[in-house]
Amino acid sequence: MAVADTGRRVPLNPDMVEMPASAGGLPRLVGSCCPACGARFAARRAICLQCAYRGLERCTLSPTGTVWTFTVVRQQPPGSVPQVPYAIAQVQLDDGPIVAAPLVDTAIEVVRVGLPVEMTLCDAGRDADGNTLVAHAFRARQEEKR
Amino acid sequence: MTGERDVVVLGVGLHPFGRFPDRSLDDLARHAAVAALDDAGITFREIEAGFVGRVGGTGPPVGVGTRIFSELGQHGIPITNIELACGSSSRALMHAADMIRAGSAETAMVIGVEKMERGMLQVGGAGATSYASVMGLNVMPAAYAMRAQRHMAEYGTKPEHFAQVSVKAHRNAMHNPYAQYRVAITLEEVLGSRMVCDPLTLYQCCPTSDGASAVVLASETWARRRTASPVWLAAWAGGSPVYENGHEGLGEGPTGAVARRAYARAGIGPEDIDVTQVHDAFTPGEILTIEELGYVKPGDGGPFVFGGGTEITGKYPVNTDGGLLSRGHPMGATGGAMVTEVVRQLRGQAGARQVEGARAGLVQNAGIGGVNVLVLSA
Repeated sequence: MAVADTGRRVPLNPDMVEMPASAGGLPRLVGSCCPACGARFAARRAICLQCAYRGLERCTLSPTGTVWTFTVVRQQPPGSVPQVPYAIAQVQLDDGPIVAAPLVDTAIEVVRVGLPVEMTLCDAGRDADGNTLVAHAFRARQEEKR
Repeated sequence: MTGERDVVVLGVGLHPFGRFPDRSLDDLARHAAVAALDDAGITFREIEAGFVGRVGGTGPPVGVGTRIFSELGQHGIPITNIELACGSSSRALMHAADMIRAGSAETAMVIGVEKMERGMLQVGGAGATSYASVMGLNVMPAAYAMRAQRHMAEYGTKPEHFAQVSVKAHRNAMHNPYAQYRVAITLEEVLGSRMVCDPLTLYQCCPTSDGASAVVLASETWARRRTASPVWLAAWAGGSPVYENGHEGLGEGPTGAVARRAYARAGIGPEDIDVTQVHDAFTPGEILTIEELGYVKPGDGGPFVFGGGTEITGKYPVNTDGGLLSRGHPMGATGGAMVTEVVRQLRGQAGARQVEGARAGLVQNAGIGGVNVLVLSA
């Protein structure tokens, strides 16, 4: 039996994505930062890989970066919400960490190493309550999309 | 250079790689193990330690090592399961060799075995529903494709350079009776096959396979009673991904650093290696790895392969038995199969794929989470 769509957008993984606190705000990538040495990491982590400090703090990461490398997936992997052909990338964020993500709203032909990108969200299905699940993605920055 | 605790590869054996729906995991393993015992000229009762390298696939997940070794006999030896994804049996060989070098055993047998399903391998197993798999990021060929794209952007490596790896692998496999695909293929056919993850086409991806490998190791003292011309496992080193320059290690780990450790322990350098097996699960595996092994400078791997440098008659023959691409890749069995090929090369038993006068060989076997380099010498 179909559950009515609530219209709400909920992160598929709250340890990866933080939704905006107010309408018009931007979603952010969640990471971990080290209060001792300043190292920053994509996703949640307890112990610093740089200095072994225990007790990393949750932080949000830069929403912009560049494509470090990429590929175009053309054989549909089981369980994947993105449908082939779709591009995925390792994105080097402006504040350091590299994060893997799908590239959306961007023509496959323009994807290249070094492409400036910005964080966005993509649909990742619906939960049992009728909320739309969202996950992190990147897209070419506006000035690159002409 | 040798001493009583040095390690000899006394016997090797394979079950052919391919699809064998009527044979169980135990059948495959037993076949390879018996072949290795016969090759060594010993009985199973003389084996003092057992290891099994296996990833998972279909079949029993727990206690598989003891079950497999029970096919051969039961005399109470310690049996250990090792899982390092596609690098499982080479890591098992390293620990077996450590036991012998430490004096904990005079002999050991490593069995690598796998039965796999058709289709694109899912990291974390079929039906995995991780965040990454939902987001379409859980794609094995994509990991190699992204390394290839980075290499292309940094060094100008071309799609045909990668494709040539597959052409050479298929040609070599024609002379390997244990290989899954024994058919030649042209550069045009490789490039023209279906695109899987740019720039990798279907024929640049290894198949899933059933198969098994077995390797018998012995101490130098013990082996001397059985053979006058031993093949030595001269050095071995393993590693896992490294956090450096502010970035978390991706993939398999630091092949270059691991290789340098193995060279130092063997007292040789890359220029001394006559025959090499590398982890070509996808074609970039060969081009990127020969750079990391120090055979060519970073960025020179593509033109070197395209110019025939890794052919059987080239400067650095690589994957003389067809590699993962054509010999096949039953994950747990692959490391042992690589060692098997190098042993046959060093004994001069490789037939039409023989590298003339091969005296030293290298195996690089990588899996998600780790990489191993083993150096063998005649």
